[in-house]
Amino acid sequence: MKIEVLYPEICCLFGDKANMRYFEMCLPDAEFIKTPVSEMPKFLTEDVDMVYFGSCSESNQERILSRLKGHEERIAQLIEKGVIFLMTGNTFEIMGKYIKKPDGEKIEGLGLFDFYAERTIPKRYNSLFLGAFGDMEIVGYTSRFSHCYEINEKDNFLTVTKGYGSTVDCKTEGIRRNNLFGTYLLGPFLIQNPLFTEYLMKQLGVEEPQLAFKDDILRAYDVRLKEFKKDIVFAE
Amino acid sequence: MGRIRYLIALWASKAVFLLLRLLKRNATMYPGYIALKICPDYLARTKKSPNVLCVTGTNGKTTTTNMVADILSQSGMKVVSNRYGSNINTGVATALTHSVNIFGKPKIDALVLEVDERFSRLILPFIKPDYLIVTNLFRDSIKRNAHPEYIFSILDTYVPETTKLILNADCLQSSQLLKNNERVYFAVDKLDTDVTECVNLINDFSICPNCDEKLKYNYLRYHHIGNAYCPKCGFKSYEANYRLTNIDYENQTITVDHAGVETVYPMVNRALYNIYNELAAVTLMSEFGVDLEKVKDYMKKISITQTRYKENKAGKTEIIRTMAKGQNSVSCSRTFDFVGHEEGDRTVFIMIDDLFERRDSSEFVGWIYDVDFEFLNTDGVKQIVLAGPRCFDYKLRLLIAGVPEERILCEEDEFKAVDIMDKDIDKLYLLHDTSTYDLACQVEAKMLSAFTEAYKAKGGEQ
Repeated sequence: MKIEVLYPEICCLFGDKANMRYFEMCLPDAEFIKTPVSEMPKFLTEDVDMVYFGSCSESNQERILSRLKGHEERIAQLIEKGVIFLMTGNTFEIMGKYIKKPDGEKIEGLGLFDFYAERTIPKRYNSLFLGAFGDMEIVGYTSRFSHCYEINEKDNFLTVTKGYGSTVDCKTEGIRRNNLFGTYLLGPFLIQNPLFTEYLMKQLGVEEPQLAFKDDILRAYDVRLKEFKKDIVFAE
Repeated sequence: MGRIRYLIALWASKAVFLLLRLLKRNATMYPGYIALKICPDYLARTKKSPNVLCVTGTNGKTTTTNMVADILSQSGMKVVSNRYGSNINTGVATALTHSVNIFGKPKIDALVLEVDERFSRLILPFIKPDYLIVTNLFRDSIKRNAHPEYIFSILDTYVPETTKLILNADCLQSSQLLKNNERVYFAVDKLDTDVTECVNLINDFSICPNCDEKLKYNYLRYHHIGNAYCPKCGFKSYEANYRLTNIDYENQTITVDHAGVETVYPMVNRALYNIYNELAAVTLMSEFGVDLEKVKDYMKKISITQTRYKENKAGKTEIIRTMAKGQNSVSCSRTFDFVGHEEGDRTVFIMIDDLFERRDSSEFVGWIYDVDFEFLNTDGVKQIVLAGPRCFDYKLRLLIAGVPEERILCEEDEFKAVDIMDKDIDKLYLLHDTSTYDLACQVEAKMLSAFTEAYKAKGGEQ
């Protein structure tokens, strides 16, 4: 099993790096390839089972786009084929038509999805998140300078119970197509959502997924879930 | 009209200050808040003292500001500082109120201000500092500060072009600020403990800003602090004008070289991050023209404020209370590095939850995965006590860091944690957030009595 962690030196804000660190502990036999920004992604020329992108700054988002432009067709093929793409934080915005800056300039995206993103700098949006992926409860946190608009209904990832969705009021969050999962939720998403981590491992073909530190991770998940279901402040 | 409004704001601010003091209330922010409400351009309108010196950056602002204010005060200057107050626009406005008389005329020699880096756009363009120290730029609270590039862009846009900068050449991020401003750099020469590959979880300046090539380091201290160059395009760290050439832990001194002349100063605190703060203060004092021989004497009388660092003894246990700013991954990593590398058997008591968020919300703990908890995974650290509502998240973090489970004590109630923790230990480090300072003092008081009692019960004498 081959998992590519893309540009870890820049896609690493807000604790996102922990996702693959933890995933490595759950999948000790898998090969994890960390591709720096100075190199071409392996998935463009090799078969990989999963690609991970973590959160990054706005300028690095543009840097990533400059690397991936011209490879849209290959990425679309991999998505169709069912390769897992997991994108946390703001990185999934590059999959849309464009990212609009506060001065009106539009940065062309990869155009693989119909939505567009709009930056709100310096206004930052922070929110806890409680929602669902199918019947699986998802918890998390978003902190961002942008929102996504006009995501096709069929491309939504999560449903929102409390907190911000793809926009402040949106009742869905993130994007999904086959095994591509893009979410504004950031930080240790896989650690905070062990059931989703198990689901991903199954999608990778692991028949009996074994979570590392299973008891502790499920306890922390339960504590957070109960807390989030209480009447607490989700967004300022 | 503007002048009258300004005077009304000034008088109201002074009156509110007196009233709050009479009521024995904190009077560091509200007087400035009132002044800005009445006169929104209060910061710009206030006549400045002859010298305005500011300190900003992610870490070390308070300690550095206090050192600068203490040195200038000892030199006989009349100084106003926001040392006990807020470092945002309202706190700065309060300090400005104190710096002038009722007619708005400056009554001091120097204004020394700590300035929050995110709020700097609301402060620096109006008070136009003569000197500005930028201690460093790191990740900080995700909610407020987003990421270092965002804070860099604020400072790069809003620091006045007339301000002379005192910059850290070892900080690859902040050393790139405002290339057209007059500046001097300080740096700590290569240390025996330095490396050339990053051992920390985060390094926010690992690739060349010009060509994306991975940077190489002549020395790397921690995170992106070091001396780097690009093997491809020639980009490199700036040369320092003030170089710390020697740290003598035995004699508690530091040696600073400026233009070929070495001066030996007393070491205010042995933690490397505080040595950087002292070096920044010394650099500013030298540029400002204070007699360096006298600075040596003044430094002898300076101590780190007790809200940041305090040592106590209870029975056989030395209890050290020190700050590890929550939601600030580098501040915590620096403290963990310091504690992890100290000598002797020790316990680390961690209470760095955000006290305000726990009241009616839930803290985002993603930042703890940027913190080098791995430094605590060392044989000398016998027990790690995780206290507070987020203790289960911290436990998981420690397990991922490889800390054996039997060394971890997890307890949601801080006081109960003191009851059940192991008390037969040489040193105890109590690490707290700014928001948990008052709570930490209460916990510390309980520790002092509990450890003393435990020692006596074992037959020891205090």
